[in-house]
Amino acid sequence: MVEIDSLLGVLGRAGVEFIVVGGVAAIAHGSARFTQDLDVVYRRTPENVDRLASALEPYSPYLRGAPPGLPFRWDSETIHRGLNFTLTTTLGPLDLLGEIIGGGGYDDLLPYSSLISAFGVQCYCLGLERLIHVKRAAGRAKDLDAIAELEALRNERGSPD
Amino acid sequence: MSDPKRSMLSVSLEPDPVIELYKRDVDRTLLRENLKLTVEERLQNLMRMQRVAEEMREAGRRAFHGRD
Repeated sequence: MVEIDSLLGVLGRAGVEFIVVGGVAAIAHGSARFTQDLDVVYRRTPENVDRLASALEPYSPYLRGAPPGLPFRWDSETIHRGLNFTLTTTLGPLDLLGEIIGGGGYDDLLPYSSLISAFGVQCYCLGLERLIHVKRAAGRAKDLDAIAELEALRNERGSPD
Repeated sequence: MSDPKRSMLSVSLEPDPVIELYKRDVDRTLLRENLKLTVEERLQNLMRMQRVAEEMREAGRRAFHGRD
């Protein structure tokens, strides 16, 4: 299980620049689907990568699905060398994405995002229209149900974002 | 590796006949109920569901794999 409230709080209090995307963003928009991890797109500036590394370090980030004992170090250098990380943490599964297909990176997505408030934290969440766009761009058969639901949500809300 | 920005430019948001078919089965009553909630309430519901799912998984492990 992912402690969404705690993870958003940890990232928010550390001043990490990030945008909630994926299943949790869909649920924030009203989706009735289920997800087990938190996906965020983080800004890849050196300062933000440092904040991200420090903020998560107490929660033992490790590569999800990897065998234990790998020489994986969670620090700024590792984040700079990589791009997208699927992690386990003591607060639950967390996907840290430098870029997403169909959406690009943080600066590309920010104009399509809105501030949301939850659990005493304000953070950016990808807008419904762009969420549909990136899921369509990913072209995965498993997303067809989710895209249909997001488009139905758009109809129910009666406005794009 | 695919270029995320290139994909961003090439996606059409015209109605897709396959997605339109899937849309017929969307339970809109659930969506309408969710739209009455705040963002925080929607996320709290998700966390509650995750706890229930975890408890059911554990119950299944005990019942079907003899681990209790």
